[in-house]
Amino acid sequence: MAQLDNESRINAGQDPLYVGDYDNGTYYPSVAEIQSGAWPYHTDWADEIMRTPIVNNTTLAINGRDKKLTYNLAFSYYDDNGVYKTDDYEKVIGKLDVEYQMLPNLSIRTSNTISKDWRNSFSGDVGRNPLWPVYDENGDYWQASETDYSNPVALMNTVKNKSQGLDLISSWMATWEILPGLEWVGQLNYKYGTTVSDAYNPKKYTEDGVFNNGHANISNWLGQNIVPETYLTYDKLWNNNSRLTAMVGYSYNYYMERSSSLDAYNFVNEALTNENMAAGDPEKNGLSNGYSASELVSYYGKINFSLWDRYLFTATFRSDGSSKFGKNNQWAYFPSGAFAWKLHNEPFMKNVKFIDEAKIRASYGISGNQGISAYQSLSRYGMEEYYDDGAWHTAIGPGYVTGTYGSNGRFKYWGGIPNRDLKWETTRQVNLGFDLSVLDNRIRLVFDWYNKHTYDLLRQRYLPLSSGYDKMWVNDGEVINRGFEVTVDADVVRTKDFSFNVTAVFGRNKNEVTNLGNVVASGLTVDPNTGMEYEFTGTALTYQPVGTANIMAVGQPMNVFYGYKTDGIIQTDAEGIEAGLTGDLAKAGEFKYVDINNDGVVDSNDRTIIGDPNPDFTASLNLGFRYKNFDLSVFVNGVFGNDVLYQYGLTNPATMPLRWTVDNPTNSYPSLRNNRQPYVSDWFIRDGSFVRIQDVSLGYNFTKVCKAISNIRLYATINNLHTFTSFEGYDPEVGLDGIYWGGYPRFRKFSIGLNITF
Amino acid sequence: MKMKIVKTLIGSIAALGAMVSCDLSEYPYGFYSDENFYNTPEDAESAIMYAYNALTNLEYSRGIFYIGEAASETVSLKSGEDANNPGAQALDEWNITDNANNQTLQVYFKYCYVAINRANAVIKNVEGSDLDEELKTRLLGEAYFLRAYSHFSLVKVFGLVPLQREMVETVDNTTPSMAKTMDEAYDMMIGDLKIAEANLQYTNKVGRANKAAAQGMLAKLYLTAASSKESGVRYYTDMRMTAEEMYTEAATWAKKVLDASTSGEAPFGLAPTLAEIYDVDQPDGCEHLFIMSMDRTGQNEGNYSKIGMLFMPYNNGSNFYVKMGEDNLVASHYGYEVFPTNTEFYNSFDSEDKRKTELMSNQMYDANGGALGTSAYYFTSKYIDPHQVSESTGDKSSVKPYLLRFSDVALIYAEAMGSDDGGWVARIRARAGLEPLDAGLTKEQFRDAVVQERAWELAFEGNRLYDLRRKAMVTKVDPNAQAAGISEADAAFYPIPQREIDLNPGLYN
Repeated sequence: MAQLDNESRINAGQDPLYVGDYDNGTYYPSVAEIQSGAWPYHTDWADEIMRTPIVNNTTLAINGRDKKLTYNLAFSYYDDNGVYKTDDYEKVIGKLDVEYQMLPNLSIRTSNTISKDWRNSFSGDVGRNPLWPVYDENGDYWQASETDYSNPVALMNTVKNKSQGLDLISSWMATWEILPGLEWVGQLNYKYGTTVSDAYNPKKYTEDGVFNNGHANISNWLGQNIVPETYLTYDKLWNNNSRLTAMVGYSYNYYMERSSSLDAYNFVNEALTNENMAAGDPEKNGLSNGYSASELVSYYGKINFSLWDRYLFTATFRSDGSSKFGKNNQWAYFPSGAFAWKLHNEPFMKNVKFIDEAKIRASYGISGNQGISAYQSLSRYGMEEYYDDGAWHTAIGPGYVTGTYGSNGRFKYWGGIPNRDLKWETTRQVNLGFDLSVLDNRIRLVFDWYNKHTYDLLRQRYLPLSSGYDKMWVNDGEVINRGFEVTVDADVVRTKDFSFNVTAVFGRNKNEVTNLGNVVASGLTVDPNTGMEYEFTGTALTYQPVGTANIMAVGQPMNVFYGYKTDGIIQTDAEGIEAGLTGDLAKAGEFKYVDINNDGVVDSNDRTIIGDPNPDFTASLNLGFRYKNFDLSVFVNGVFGNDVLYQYGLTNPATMPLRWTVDNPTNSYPSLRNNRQPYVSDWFIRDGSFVRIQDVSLGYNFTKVCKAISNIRLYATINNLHTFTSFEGYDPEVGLDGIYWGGYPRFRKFSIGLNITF
Repeated sequence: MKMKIVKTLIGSIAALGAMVSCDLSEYPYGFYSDENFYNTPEDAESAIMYAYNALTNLEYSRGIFYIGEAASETVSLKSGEDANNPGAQALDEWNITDNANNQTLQVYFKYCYVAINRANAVIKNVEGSDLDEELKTRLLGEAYFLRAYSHFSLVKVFGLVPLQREMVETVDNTTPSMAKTMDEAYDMMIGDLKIAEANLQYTNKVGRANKAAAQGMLAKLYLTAASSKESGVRYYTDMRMTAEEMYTEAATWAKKVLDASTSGEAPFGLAPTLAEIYDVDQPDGCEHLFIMSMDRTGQNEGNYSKIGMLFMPYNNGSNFYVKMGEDNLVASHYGYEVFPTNTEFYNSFDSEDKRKTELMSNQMYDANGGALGTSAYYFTSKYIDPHQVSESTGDKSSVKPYLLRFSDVALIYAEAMGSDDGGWVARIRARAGLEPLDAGLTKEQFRDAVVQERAWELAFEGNRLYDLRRKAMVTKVDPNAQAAGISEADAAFYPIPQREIDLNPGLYN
C-alpha cells in the first residue's frame, strides 16, 4: 500500500510520503522500514471498533374479549446493537387496543401505542491507515499530528452522542349505523413524537472540540400530526348479486414540527460534558430553533356498483388542497374510474370446470403528489453575522445555506428562491389486467399492464451560477412509465403433512423522460452531437470521477449517465496526442478518452450517454415448504441489467496493483497518479445486476403443549444470506441515481425467535 | 396549539354537512422573507451588511489568493492542497485544460454573484422606499459600490461575464446574458461606481465602502482597461476610448483620493511605517480605503479569518514568534503553508527593501527571541494576529484581506500619469527605505517600473495576477505559466464555468 501510494505521488510530480520522514507533522515510515518490520505498528481498525451485533426482540401480548368489549394489550422490548461497538439502540413499546360496542348500532374503537427509545450513536473510519497505532507510548490515543481527528477508538471513547425519543400514536374511531346500509364513521388519528439529543466533543481528538475548547449540545425535536376524518357510506344489495356502495368523506391533515438546539463552548472543566450547559463560556453560547407546518385538506367520494356480481364499476373523485403550493395552485381534482368483469360468474363459464376465477380489469385514474417540504413557494432569506463597528450584527438578505459539500463541508449550497407557481405533480394512469385461478385454486396468475404518465414533475432544478443560487423547486417535465408485472403462485404439493408452494414475480418497467419543458425556460443543454435536450440532475460525485454523472434527457430513461467514452489506456505519449488529448491527459498510462465527434480534440463536446441505472427487469422467487410442524421458506430477489457508477474504481486496493506501468502496459487500469481528476467516463460504469438470497427461515410449531400454553413457535431466520454479483463494491443495491457512494457491506443477520401463545 | 386541537376535534365530530373550508396559506415562520423584511431602516442596514458579508465567505475570500497570487510568480501552492480546494493546483501550475470545470474558479464565480444579488436586493428595496433620504443615499451608494466591486472581480478573472442588473426573485431573473463587449461591462461598473462616489462620504469604517474607495475603484477600473488595451488584451482592444483617454480618467479619479487625503478632507493617506499597515489592531488605519471585516470572536470561518494560516509555516503545529524589524517580536499562530513564497520572488527585492527585510523572513523564534528554526520558504508577515496566540483563540484570527489600499491608488495615479507627479512613488519607496526611481525613465519605462513597484508593495495581497494580465506578461514573469507552454491569450482570462454555460440559456442572447 505504501509503495503504491509513493508511486501515485511520484506520477503526480509530488514528493512520495513513505520515505521515513515527517510530512506535515506526521511520520511516514519508509517502505523498507515497513517491509523489514522495523515499523512495529499494524492495526486492524475494524477489529478495534466493530463487533458482531446481537438483536433481541421480545413481545408479550394479552388479548381479551367479552360481549361488548375487546381488548389487546402488548408489551415489547427491542434491543438492536449496531455493527460498531457502542452503537446501541433500545426500545420499549406498550400497546393498547380497545373496541367497545356501546349500542347495537354504535361502536367505538381506540388504538394506542406508546414507545420510548434510547440510542447511543457511533461510527468510525475503519479505512484508517493500518500503519498507525491506537495508543502512543504513554497509553494516550495516538494522533498522526495535532490535527489528526480521526482516531476512531479515541472518538468512540471520548465523544458523547446520545439521543432518546418518546412516540405516541393514538387513533379514535366511532362507527354509527344510522339506518341499515347507511353508516357514518368519524375518526381522529394523532401522532406525537419528541427527541432529545445530547452531544459533547471533548477538547482533544475532535476538530470541533479542539477549536472550541469543548463543545456541548442539547437538541430538542417535537413533531405532531393530526388527522381528523369523517365519511358516510351507503351500502345496498339487490337480488343477492347486485350491490351499490357509495361513500363521501372529508379529511384534514395537519403536520407540524419544531426544534431547538443549544450550544455551549469553551469549558474550563469538561467532567460534566453537556450536563451543565452554563459551565461553558457565557459569551459563546449558541441558540437556534426551527418550525414547519403544512396542511392538506381532502374531499372525496366513491361509488362502487356491482351488477349480478359480474360487472363491477367504480368511480371516485377527490379534491385535495395542499398548503405547500402557490396560492392559485393549492387545489387539484383527481377523478378515476374502473371496470372489472368477473368472467367466471357468467353462465356460459359454468361448464368450464377447471377455471375457478377469471377476472378482467381496466382502470384509469389521475393522482397527485405533494412530496416536498413546506415553504418552497415562499422566498426565504438567510441570516448571518457581520462584524461592524466593533460588534456583531445580524445581517439578513436573500439566499440561505441549504447544505454543504467538499472537504469538511467547506463549500455551501444556496437556496431560498421562491417558486410561487409551484403546483401538484400529477400522474395519469391506465391499468389493464387479469386474474386467473385454475385447478381448484392450485395455480393462480395475476397479470397487470400499466402506463403511467407523470407530468408537472416536482423536481429541484440547478440554477445558473450567475443567479447566486444553487437550486430551486419547479414543476417541470413529463415521464412515462410503462410496464407489466406477472405473479404466478402455485401450490405444487398440497397434502396434509407436506406442502410446497412457489410464488414467482416478474416485473419489467421502462421509463422515459418525454419532456423537460422549453429548452430556454428550463435551462436545458443540447447535446451537440445528437440534439438531445438534457440537464444534470442529482448530487455531484464526492470522490472520483469529478463532476455530476446523472442527467435527465428527453427521450431517455431517467438518470442516465452522461460522460466520456474510453478506449482503454494510452500506451505512449504520442498515442495520447494523436487521440486529441493534451497536457497530463495525453500521457502514457492515462485514460484514452474517445473523440466521438472526430474533431481532433477531446473536449466536453465528446460526452454522450454511457450508462443506464434503470434495471431491465426485476424478479423474485419465494419457496415455501411445510412438513408436519416444520416450515421452511426461502426468498430470493434479483435485479438485472442496471448500470452502477463505481466511484472507487481507481482506489480499490484489490485492483490498484493491476495499474498501468511501463512494464505492465495494460488496457484495463490507468497508472496511479495522485492528482488525477478523472472525467465521468464509461470506465467507472459497472454492471449492477445481482441475485440475493434475502431470507431463509426455518420454523417449528409445538401445538397443544399444555393447558396454559396453546402454541409455541420456534424459528430461525437468516437475512441476506448471499448475493451473487460481479460488482466490486460492498453492495450493488444503490439508489435510483445508480451511483455507488461507498459505505459498508450489507450485513448478514441471524435471528432466532420464540413465540408463545397462551 | 390547543385551539388547533379543539378546532380539529370539532371538525371531526361535525356531521358531513359542516365541512370546514380551510385557509391553506403558508406564512413564513422562523425565517425572514420578502413578506416580512425590508420594512424598517434597521432592516435595510442589516441587508447591506448581508451584502458585505458575502465577501467574507471562504469561497470568495480565499479565492482572492488562490487565483490572484498562486497563479502568479509570487507564491506556489502546497502539494495536496487540491484535496481541500479542488482546482487550486491547476491554477498554480497553469494547467488550463479543464478550467471550465475548475471548482475553485466555479465557487469564486458563484460567490461574486451571491454578493451581487445581495447588493441588488438592497438596491431594489431601498430605491423606491420611503426611508430617510440620508440613509437611503448612503445605502444605495454602498450597494452600487458592492455590485461594481464584484462585477470587477469577475471581469478580472473571467473577462466577459454575465451582467446581473436585477435582484433574482424568480426563475425569470436567473438567465442574465453575457456582456457583449468590454464597454458594456465597464459602462455598467463605472455607472455603478459613479453613483457610489456621489452618494458616499469620506468616512473610514472597517468593512464598509466610502467615497474614496469608490474613487479608487474607478481609477483601478480605468487603469486596468487602459493598460489592457495598450497591451493588446482580447476584448479590451475593442473598447471605444483610447488607452490614453482611459489613463487620463484613471489619473483623474485617483487624484481625487490623493487630493482629498492631502487636504485632510478624507481620513486617508500613506501610513508612516510598514508595520502600521499590517497591524491587525489598526484595520481603520489611513491606508485602508476598503478592507474586509473579520474578527477572531466569530463562530464560523468567514466571520473569523484563517487567511494568515494559509501563508504561515507549519513548524510542526507549534506557535512561534516572528521578527518584523530588528526589535519587533510578534507572536504568530502556526500555519498550513498553503502559499509558500517563491524564492525567485523573494530574491527580486532590493536587499535594502524593508518590504523584504521587515515583512518577509524564514526565521522562527521563541518568546525570548531565541532561534526556533528555519522555514523552507520566506513567509510574509502581512497576515499575523498576535492575539490569536495571546488569547488562545485557536485558528480564529482577525487578519483581514486588504481590498483597496491608499498606496495602491497612489501607484495607480503614477502609472496613469506616466510620471511621479506629486512624488507618491518616491514616498512609497522611501517608506521601504529605497531611493526614488531613476528620473530619466521614459513614460513607458516609468509605467513598467511602477508595475514592478506594485509587485513589491502589494505582494501577497491578491493583486499580482491581474497586473500581469493587463500588461500581457503572465508568461514572461510566471515560470509555471512558461513551463505550461501556454500563450498570453490563454493566460488573459479563465473560461466561464461549464455549469454556467450548461444552465444559463440566456447567456448569448
